[in-house]
Amino acid sequence: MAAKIRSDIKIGNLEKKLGLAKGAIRNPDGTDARSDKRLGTLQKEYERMYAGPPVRTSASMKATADALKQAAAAKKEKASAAVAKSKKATTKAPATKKPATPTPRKK
Amino acid sequence: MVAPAVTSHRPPRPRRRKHPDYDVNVFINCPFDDDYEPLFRAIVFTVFSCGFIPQCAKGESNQNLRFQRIIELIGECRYGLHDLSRIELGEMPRNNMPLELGVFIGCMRFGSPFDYEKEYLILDSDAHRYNQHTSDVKADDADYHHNNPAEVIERVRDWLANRPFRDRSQPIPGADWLLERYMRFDVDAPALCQELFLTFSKLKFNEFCTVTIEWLTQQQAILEAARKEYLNPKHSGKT
Repeated sequence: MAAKIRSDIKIGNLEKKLGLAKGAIRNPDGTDARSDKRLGTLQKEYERMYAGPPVRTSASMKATADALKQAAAAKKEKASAAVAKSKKATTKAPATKKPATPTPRKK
Repeated sequence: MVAPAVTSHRPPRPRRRKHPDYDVNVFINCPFDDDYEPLFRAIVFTVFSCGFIPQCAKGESNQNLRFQRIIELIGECRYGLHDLSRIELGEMPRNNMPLELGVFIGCMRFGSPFDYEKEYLILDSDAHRYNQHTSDVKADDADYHHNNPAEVIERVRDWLANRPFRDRSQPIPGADWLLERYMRFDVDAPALCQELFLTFSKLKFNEFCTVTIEWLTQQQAILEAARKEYLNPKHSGKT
């Protein structure tokens, strides 16, 4: 049975315990969490920053979101196809060499 | 002598069914001018962040049937946010908002049984200004926002946090945290819009909703990832 880690553990000790590198555990703003900070404090900070009730949507909003995502995916595909086409065209085109301009001979 | 009963030839009113999202729908009745846009976006963001669904006449753009659609929307929403800040004294006032507030109150009073549950919040730009333009709503004690998005977020959040239907197991973050989130959203949103080939400043209501939902779900995914990695780690050594 997996045991929960106590929330009063310090971040430095937790990193050791989980085998993480020093500085792997981060504050919600992305900075390195102090090694003497408690896990409980970090949990509270994360909850305040990111947690909240589930996001609800209506049917029409879902339909709009799906349509927008599909349109964006289609545009991306088109753009990538165009890029691939242009690349092919540049590689396939025979290399046209410029006629060497005759260098004037020194008299 | 008793007057003969007048028979009406009007067809009976069609029976309305409770909308599936009725208990979480919030009808936003506000001005749609450019100056109000930051406040409107702040309101929509707050409503989503509190776990509700914002509904607005801008969602459907059938110009000719707009008022009909507004009436339908009012019937579909349990909650209403009504902003009367554009009734400016001495100028030609915008009377659409009080009209829609009147329809909302009428629906609450004379509608179907589930309409009795309706609740509304009146917003204004300054305190007690409604005493001059709409003194009949005095008893409803309108909130004021000074045309400031931070204050709008606080008022709407505080009001929604006390609604009876809210899921109490999921606490709503405080107004200061919501404001911070909104500021982060404002920074991140243009990049999100670019992914969807949209321009942030020109988003329509439904598009803005899509971007907001996308951002909020991304944030929750970040929390989930942090939870999995180190916030709630489980010791897997001993079994």
